[in-house]
Amino acid sequence: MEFVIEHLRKKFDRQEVLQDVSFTFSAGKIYGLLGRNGAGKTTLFNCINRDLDADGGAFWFAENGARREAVPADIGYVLSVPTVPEFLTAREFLKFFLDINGGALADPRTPDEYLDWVQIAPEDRGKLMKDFSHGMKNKLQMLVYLIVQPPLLLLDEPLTSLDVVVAEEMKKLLRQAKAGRVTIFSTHILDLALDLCDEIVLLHGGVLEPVPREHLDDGAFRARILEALREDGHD
Amino acid sequence: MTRTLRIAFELRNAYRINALLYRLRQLPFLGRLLPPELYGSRGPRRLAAAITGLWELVTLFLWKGLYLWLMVFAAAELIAPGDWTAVLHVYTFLTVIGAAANTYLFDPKRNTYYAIFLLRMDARQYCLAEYGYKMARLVIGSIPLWLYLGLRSGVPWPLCLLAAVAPAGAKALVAASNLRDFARHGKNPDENKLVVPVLLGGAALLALAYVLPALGFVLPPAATGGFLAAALVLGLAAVRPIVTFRLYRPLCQQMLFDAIHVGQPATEAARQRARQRIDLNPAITSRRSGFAYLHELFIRRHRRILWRATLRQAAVLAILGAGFVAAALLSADAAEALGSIPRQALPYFVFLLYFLNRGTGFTQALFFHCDCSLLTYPFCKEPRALLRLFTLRLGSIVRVNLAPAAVLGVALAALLAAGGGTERPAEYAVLLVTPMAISVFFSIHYLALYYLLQPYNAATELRGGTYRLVTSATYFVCVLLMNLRMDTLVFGGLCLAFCALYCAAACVLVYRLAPRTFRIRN
Repeated sequence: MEFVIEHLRKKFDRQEVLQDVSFTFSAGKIYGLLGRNGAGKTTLFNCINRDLDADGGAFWFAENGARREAVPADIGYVLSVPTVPEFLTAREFLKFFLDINGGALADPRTPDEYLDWVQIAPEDRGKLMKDFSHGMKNKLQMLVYLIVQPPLLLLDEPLTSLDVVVAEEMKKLLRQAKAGRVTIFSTHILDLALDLCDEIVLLHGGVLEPVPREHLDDGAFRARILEALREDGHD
Repeated sequence: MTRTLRIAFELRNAYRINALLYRLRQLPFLGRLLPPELYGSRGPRRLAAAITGLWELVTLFLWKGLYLWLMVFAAAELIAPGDWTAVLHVYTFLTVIGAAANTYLFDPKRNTYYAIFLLRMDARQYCLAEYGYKMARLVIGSIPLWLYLGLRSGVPWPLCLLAAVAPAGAKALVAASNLRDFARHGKNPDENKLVVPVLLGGAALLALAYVLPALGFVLPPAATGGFLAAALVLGLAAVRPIVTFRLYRPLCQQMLFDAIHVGQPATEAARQRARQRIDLNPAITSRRSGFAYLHELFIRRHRRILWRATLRQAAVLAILGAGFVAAALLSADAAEALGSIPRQALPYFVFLLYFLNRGTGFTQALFFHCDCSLLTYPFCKEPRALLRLFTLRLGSIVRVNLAPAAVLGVALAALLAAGGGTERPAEYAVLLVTPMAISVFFSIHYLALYYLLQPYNAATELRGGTYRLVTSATYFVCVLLMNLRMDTLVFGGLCLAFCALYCAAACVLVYRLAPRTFRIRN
């Protein structure tokens, strides 16, 4: 299975943020999407998630030569600032989620079994999520997508503000969950991308450009990536 | 001080010009024609400055004029026709409420934060410059309005002049007292905070302002004039402690810290404040499932935000209604004057219900506490899910708005009966049902607007230009309706028919369009 983007364009006023984005992502891999502030990473994700209307282009899933349109249920989108309904407890949120999606799951479990999986402590499960830390909210947000396993997972800098322990747990979860789906992981941090991702893609100048993995250990090539990123955008 | 006044004025002006240009760019169609470079262009900025200057001039009289006309002169004429002493009676009580609730000195805004803490302006000079400007506007705006409206109603001109300047004195007196409290006890005088004794006192004074004249008791001009003169003289004496007060910076720091959590976006601060009002009671739960489960928990855990204001409104209306009905039963004069209110004033009640309806607050609570997170989950953006939640929410918002409307309907019908009754029994039914139908209309109107023009972005800032336009249009239509003179049965019948048609149309539109329109703005 592949996720294909073709000639995607988006501009705000006269600024063309996405000029001509074309790329084919393969299932089973985590793609590190690198770009400077304002390069358009979040805009690209918002267009794919249909939170923004693209000005042109298309995206779809390709499987066994057939083309299938991406519907909302195909996409999981984890934002850098986790958003969970804060008036619910973790257990209530999962109950609600399972009420809605339980029928589509092959092996549904209880909310507590899922919360064990992402190591949310039993004493925290009955607390309203408004009192959760950033990391706990992030885990919850990630958990619902790990449960439904959508074919496309978009992660918009989800690890940037987490402490090292939670960040390591999240990386482990992502590695466990990457089989059978396309995971696109947006980040500013080159080392994080190299540690977690199977492929690196640069978004600069409004287009996507792949960077072959084998060159990434080469210091000179790192410098070239940084140079390419410096050419684009401003802080 | 002149320099401070100039900088404060320039800061406020820059803020207003940029806000105007921003709102113009948010407008449908026109916004697309305006480039982002607009903010830096001299011509458009000058035009915007002229518009904001003109607006400053218009609002010098507009809001004050509306307030005086609606709350004082029209109300007094309705309760005690042709009696100018009733005008002064109502005005005196309202002046006390206004002085306690709005001194102009304790209203922390982000402008204050920018000026004092970012631009490091002298806090005392800045506060006094802003305060002096607002007080000058109050006096300059009030004098011609009082001379025009007061003389027309028969109020002698010296009393008109006194009535125009006395509120400034009353406000200064309260401000000086609050400054002293802050200096002695560190008490935060932020007047945007809801303080229960002040609210109850305000409600009592409001009742005295309107119910006493309805019962035939009006304070004599010597009493009202004496009170207003005393407020003015004591206010003048309060100027010195206000000007010489030295703790404006810590005062602003405390008010701003408590009110807007300095350094955070205003909306985030609002969210945090509202978050504190989520009910933590572990006994609150639900036996339902799916979206009904989510919705029930939302409503029950946000009872304070969603229901408290509406129940208070219903209670105040019930007290006022009972007072008017009692007055009509006790006095034949009052019965004659009050008995005509339900028939003549039905269009005014549309405006009242516009103010009472909780549509904006309800939808804001929905977005801040629920939808800004739910709409990031694809399974909540499915058309079926959206429509399921819409119907659940519609039921809740209708119930919230119905409480004060039902009380109003009962009060109007009871007042009609107590004031002499009618030969057309259908009028009772119309008076009872019309306020409720109008409240259902406002409920559906605001919820449908929320679904069709969802105006908030992920940072919970209001961004929708069309949404602002439509809500402003709603306000102006309600204002225009007040000029309508129509038979009760015809007006009520038209209201019911319009509400039914509008509700059907809004539901169809939401069913068809919401899956495309209900999403987080960028």
